[in-house]
Amino acid sequence: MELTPVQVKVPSAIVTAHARPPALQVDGLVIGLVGRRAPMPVVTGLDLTLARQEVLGLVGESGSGKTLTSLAIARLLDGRSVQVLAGTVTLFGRDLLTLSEAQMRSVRGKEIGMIFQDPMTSLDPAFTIGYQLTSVLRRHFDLSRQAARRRAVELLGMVGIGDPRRRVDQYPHQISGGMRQRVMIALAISCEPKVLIADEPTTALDATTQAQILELIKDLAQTLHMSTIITTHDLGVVAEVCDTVAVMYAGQIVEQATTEQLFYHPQHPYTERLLLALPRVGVEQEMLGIPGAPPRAGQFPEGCRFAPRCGHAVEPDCVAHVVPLEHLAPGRTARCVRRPELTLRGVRT
Amino acid sequence: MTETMPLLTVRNLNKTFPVRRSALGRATEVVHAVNDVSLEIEPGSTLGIVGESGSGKSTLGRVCLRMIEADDGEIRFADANLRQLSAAQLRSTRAHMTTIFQDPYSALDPRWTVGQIIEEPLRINGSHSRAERRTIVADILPRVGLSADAVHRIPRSFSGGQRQRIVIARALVTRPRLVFCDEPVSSLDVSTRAQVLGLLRELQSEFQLAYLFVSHDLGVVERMSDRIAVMYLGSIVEIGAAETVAQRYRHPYTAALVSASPAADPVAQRARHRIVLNGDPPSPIDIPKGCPFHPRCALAIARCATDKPELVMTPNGHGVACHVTNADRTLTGTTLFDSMVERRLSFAAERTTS
Repeated sequence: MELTPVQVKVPSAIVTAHARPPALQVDGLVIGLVGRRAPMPVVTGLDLTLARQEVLGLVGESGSGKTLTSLAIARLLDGRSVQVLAGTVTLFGRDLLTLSEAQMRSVRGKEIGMIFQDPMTSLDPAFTIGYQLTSVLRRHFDLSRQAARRRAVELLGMVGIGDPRRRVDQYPHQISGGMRQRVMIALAISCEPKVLIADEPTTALDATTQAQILELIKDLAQTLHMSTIITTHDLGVVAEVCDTVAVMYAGQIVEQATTEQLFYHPQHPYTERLLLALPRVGVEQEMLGIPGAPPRAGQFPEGCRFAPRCGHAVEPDCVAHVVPLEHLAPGRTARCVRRPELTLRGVRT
Repeated sequence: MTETMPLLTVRNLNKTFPVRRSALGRATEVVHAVNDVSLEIEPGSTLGIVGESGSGKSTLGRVCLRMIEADDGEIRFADANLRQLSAAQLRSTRAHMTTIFQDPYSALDPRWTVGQIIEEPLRINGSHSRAERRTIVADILPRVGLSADAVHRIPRSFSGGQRQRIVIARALVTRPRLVFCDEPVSSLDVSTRAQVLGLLRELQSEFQLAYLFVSHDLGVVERMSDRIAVMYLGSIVEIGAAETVAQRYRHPYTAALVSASPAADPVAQRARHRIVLNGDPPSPIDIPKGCPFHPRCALAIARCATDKPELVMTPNGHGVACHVTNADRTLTGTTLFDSMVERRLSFAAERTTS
């Protein structure tokens, strides 16, 4: 089969990244489980750059550390069990990890908006949708009760909820799952944040609703000029909305690329396997699982962490030493010692 | 083609749930969860049922296995008339029809060992001695990809994918002929999902299992099924061979489902038109008159709002309930898709100019 030439589109955001500070920069982030014993690192030295107005997908299986990373950025980790042990998180040039809790409260909402996976448990069942929206609006803006309510109705309309004047007085249990996720999005964008973090925003939803919600996030990111991080275990979601992707495995990034590069020319065997695991309607290709399970925190292998499940792994190269993240081009990295000799399958090859 | 007797035959099945009662205890509002459904499953084959939440697909499965009672209709399993069986007869029949549940976290008792969990159906059945039960459990573990020492461990020490293997082992110890798989992989990661689906297919050919496979993910259903039924608000709107339904579909709702499933190819994904459906599915309490899909359908004509379309079967077993596409048989697959997109676009253009 002949290779289809793929035009590699470099997002303009990457080209201009050096001119102004990026929206968000994470350097050397280490997150650990703390408790009675010595801290156990679960995210080990993570670097991540979110360019302005870019949609970045943070991809990984459960336990890869993607959710902890997104929570750490908003400083929402439960400090008693999980803590940031090292690293910096810089939002438009300002270090978030050194801010006081009071300063951080005004960052959340106004500068960073969050959407969580499960809209049912993230909305308070005892209050109307309108109350939940207006209380956020009035905390951050100097608004009268009526003005806040008007804004709440407007926001519900913006996220595609029909008949917002009626919906604003309803309780979360009175609306469907897709609509709850829209309310969550309305809450997240209510204070016009510059950065939006969506943690598995569509995992709890049906396929048709998932398509609607992703479309909505993409549109809002564009019209409100937000820079967005979406965490997901599903590369299908990435294909749909993301400009760039970072693939996480066992607490570290194993590959970073633009969405097109990642799908057509993956540079890490784990990415290749994730692509092969996707079901596709009307495509005659077997869905292949990845044998085994990811290592647990505290049991990360010494060398390449994916080696025990990798069909390309060889001894001693893959297991003897820590594998560094190789910088291939601006915004393009991979963590695989055998990369130069491997030809990995993308979705069109 | 040789005629085989279906393992499961369902005719004109209905199920409603009362949601509000008057002071006299009479149901004033009902959810019509399953609406005049007929289907068949051949031994050793898979019927996939796909639909959104609230489409009644899980309820249909439960009614078919008599986990909940139907209002009316007929269910035949092998040669038994399932709805006529006594409680005792039903219990022994149940050994041949089991269930794999969606959420492997809530389906397993956290205090029991894996051995106790897997042998429970045999214990209830009362058909095997303790020693026999132990041998059966030891036999099934490697077949679902669990190690022998799993017997003494508790569910907490297993990952989601491994827990689903425990659920599968429990569903298979009684040597069933029919397994109802209720969204068996939707709570699992993509990588684990493919593993578990592969396992289900291996076990199907090894034990000659028939699957009633329910999921909201058309990609997954297409991989697993010989035939697919598409459900919308309690009714089957399209049914046929898996390949036909996924590629030469003739119902507008199926076209929308196909366009909603990710193509896993970013360029193709962004280039193609999508039929993003307007609004949420209507509530099953208040099912629209006529065709249940007409308020969201780009091709709806006046008749769709008044007459409910019949499921019209072609000789090769492809059935569609749609006034428009049954009148114009050229509307199939991409042709149907394109005409829906075109209609939507001209509709949107009209709106902006008026």
